[in-house]
Amino acid sequence: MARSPLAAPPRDQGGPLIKNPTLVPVLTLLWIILILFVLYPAVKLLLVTFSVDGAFSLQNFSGIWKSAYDRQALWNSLFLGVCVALSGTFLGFCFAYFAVRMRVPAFLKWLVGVLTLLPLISPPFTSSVALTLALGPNGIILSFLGIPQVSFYGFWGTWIAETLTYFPVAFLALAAVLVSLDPSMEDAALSLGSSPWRVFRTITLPMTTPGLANSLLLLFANSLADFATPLVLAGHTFPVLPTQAYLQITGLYDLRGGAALSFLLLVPALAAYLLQHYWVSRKSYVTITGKSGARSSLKGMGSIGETAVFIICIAVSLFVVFLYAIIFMASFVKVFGVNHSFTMEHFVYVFQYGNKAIKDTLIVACLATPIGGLLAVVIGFITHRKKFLGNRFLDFTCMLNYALPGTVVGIAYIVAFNEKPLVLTGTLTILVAAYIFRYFAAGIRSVVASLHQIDKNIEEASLSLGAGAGRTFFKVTLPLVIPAVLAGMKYLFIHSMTAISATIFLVSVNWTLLTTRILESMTGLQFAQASAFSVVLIVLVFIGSGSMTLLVRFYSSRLAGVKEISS
Amino acid sequence: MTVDLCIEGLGKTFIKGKEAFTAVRGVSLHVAAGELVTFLGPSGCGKTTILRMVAGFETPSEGSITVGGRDVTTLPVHMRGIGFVFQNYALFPHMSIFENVAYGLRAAKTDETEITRRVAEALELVGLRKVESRFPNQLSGGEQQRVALARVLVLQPKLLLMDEPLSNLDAKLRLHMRTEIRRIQQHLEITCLYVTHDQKEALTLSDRVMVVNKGRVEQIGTPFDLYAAPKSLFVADFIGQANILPARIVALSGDKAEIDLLGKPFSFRFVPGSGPERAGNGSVVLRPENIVLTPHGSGRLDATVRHRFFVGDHMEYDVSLADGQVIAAFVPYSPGMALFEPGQRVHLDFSDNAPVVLFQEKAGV
Ligand SMILES: Nc1ncnc2c1ncn2[C@@H]1O[C@H](COP(=O)(O)OP(=O)(O)OP(=O)(O)O)[C@@H](O)[C@H]1O
Ligand SMILES: [Mg+2]
Repeated sequence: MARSPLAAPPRDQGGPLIKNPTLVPVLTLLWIILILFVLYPAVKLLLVTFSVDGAFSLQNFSGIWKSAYDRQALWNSLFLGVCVALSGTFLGFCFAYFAVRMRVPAFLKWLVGVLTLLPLISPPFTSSVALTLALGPNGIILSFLGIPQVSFYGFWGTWIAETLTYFPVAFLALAAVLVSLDPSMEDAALSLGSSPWRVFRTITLPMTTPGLANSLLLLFANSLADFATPLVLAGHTFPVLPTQAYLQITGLYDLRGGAALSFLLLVPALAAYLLQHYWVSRKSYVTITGKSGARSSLKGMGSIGETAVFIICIAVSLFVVFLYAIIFMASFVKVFGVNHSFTMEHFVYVFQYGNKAIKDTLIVACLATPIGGLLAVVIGFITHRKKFLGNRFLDFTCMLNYALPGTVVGIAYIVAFNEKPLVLTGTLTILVAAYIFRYFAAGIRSVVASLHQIDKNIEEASLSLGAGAGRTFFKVTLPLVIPAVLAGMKYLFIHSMTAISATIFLVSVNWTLLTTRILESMTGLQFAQASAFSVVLIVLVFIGSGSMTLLVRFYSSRLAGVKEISS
Repeated sequence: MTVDLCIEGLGKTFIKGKEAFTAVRGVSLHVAAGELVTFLGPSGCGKTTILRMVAGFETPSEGSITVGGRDVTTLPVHMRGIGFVFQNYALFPHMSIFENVAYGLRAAKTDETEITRRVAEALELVGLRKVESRFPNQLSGGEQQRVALARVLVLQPKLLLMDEPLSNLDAKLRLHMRTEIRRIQQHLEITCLYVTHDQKEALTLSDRVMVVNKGRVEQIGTPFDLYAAPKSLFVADFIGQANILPARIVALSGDKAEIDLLGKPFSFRFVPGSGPERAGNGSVVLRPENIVLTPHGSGRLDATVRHRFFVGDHMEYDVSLADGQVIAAFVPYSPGMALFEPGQRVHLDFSDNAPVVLFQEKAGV
């Protein structure tokens, strides 16, 4: 069904819809799906938030303004977001600088690179569980240092955990920026008599400003939307919006109040997203004039700064290793911190009582991943190669659930699918749809990016050599975008396995998820079981994403081979 | 203020992964104060690497660099007081033109009034006006090039290093900037190293040219020396156009050589010092512009015209000799000149006074 328009010759770019009659059924189908799973829930959420008994009203917000606790949650969320953005970007920059610019042994760089990837593929509770075991009540670090009880729950714990969880996002963004900085800028500054530290201050840093701003906004949005960490670590002293909305709905059965709270969350999140997407990403110093003559020669920021970066990176890396070791150990000993004798009983428990969760999680992820991948190719191809009315709106719609905090999406889904005409709550469909439409945006982006790189002449060459349009698409275009699709599918898979903020509202007796089991274990103070669940989940994600990485490599290397031969 | 530069036995070995690659070896050069020396050579021969070592961006694996009698081999870049002009200009995109030019002065903690004055002076020197508040991306390529130049000249560097500074400009502008650079360099009497791909640029611009090949110096000399008396076939071939023919040297006396070329006897005047020392096999280098083509009669060699190109100021012919070798011959354009058609048989000779370069075949080659 989706094939016929794709097979249309790519040459007729710019033609109106009439020129591509085959496109009509596919577009119609796409729009039906998108309206159903993206626009309808969003509109429904707005309706519920802003109406009482069918009339426009702001009454749902009055409860929030009256409640000092809810007001506090708003400020806390914003404050936490700013703090995490700052600390995470700082750490991310240090790591990026370490990996890209410093003269350190290659294996150290590799090791640090792998360590920064760990939080990206781990379930959101990992650092929370480990931090609780390390710094929480009776935490091993505290007892080791002989520090008496300090309250770790609240701002500090949440902040540390979120920083550790999200700094790799900043790392990836900033490393890409640092790599693409033209080294001759810094050479020029040095040759004009500037000291290395001044070069860093006046050239390197300002030229990465757009990248830094980008990273700040990304982390701000991530922290704002984070649900799992505050649920475990924030406690009652530090309420934040996502957890408040969750408690409002699951604890007080106040759907409208929850919707209103999530709307408060939506505003800054969307603002950050739009700012990042439409403003910062346009500002970039990466594009340079003329042909770059110089090669990358490593430039430092001076010995004091480099020593500091080195120490920070090694210390944080060790801490991350330490945290993962704790999780691992806690799942294999009787009672972590008390009785360290080896046992398999937690894993026995996991496979006895968590079997269904494991199976369900895998089913959901294995359904969402290929469907999302297929949608990403179709949408990426259509938005990039075919110009027609509503193209930009299509793009925006696809990005919407991604830009919104997971809590908002989850609430929108129960608001929309809990009552007629469409009752989907408690089904597999709603879980799969939630993941697909929330995370397939990454796939679309990477498909579009790789389509940009494919010279249209290649397709035209195929056509001129007598291959039909269909043959051209399947033999030429598709193979070239497969690495991008796989990369997008990997992202989708990882998040389908680990993300919880949206789906926490959608799980049911029929369909449950590993992440919810971890959460239940945590709230039940069953740290050992939580650790065992986490280990199982990490291993599953690792196997899945690892094999997809290998596939991407395999395809990319084949493509690289092709390029070498043809050049 | 002007200083001389002395490079002694300079070498650079890069370690790529586990492989060592020697990009530059045994380069020695003395540049007199106020002199402009051009590095010329094929792509990848190490020109940039030598220049970057002089600048201090790369650390030499061996050898030494002395500027004005002071050994700077291990001195950090920012303390060398050199000016470096990049191929891509490397203007700071986040700073205005004024700030770009003032950058080095600020590093040297110059006071603000002085900065304003000197920036204006430097921009004046390169012929730019009213651009101070603009940003690099608001300037044309040629203007950016001037700013890059002003940015280093404002510091009154003792040594100016330029790596293909004109290669991003179009042909007309390149010609103009070439003379500009030379004018400024001579006016300020700056010692200057200049890297280029363009041999015309090298020949017209420099006091001396250093031809580099595979990381080694092939020859250093004035443009005229290189053209008239190349010391190796590589230089002969690289500078200008050259037909290189195998020949047998029969006898030598003074600056005259008796040659056997394709079985015909020739007597050539050869450039002293460049030529062979004894009889034997060798090669002879014939510049295309020294070859004379005649329809019939006087020439000593038979040839057949293969192609004819009109280049504007002269005609270029590809002709094949009796043994099938194809060589190039240039005939200056004059109105009403006789043209040869492809396939036509002609005779070929050499201008009497044209100095011809001879090479002895090296032992074992
Ligand atoms: N940092 C480096 N690491 C490894 N190899 C290098 C490095 N820099 C240069 N090389 C190698 O050294 C050789 C000389 O390079 P260089 O840039 O000096 O050549 P060039 O003469 O300037 O060439 P072009 O005219 O193309 O600019 C090349 O083969 C290049 O690949
Ligand atoms: Mg070069």
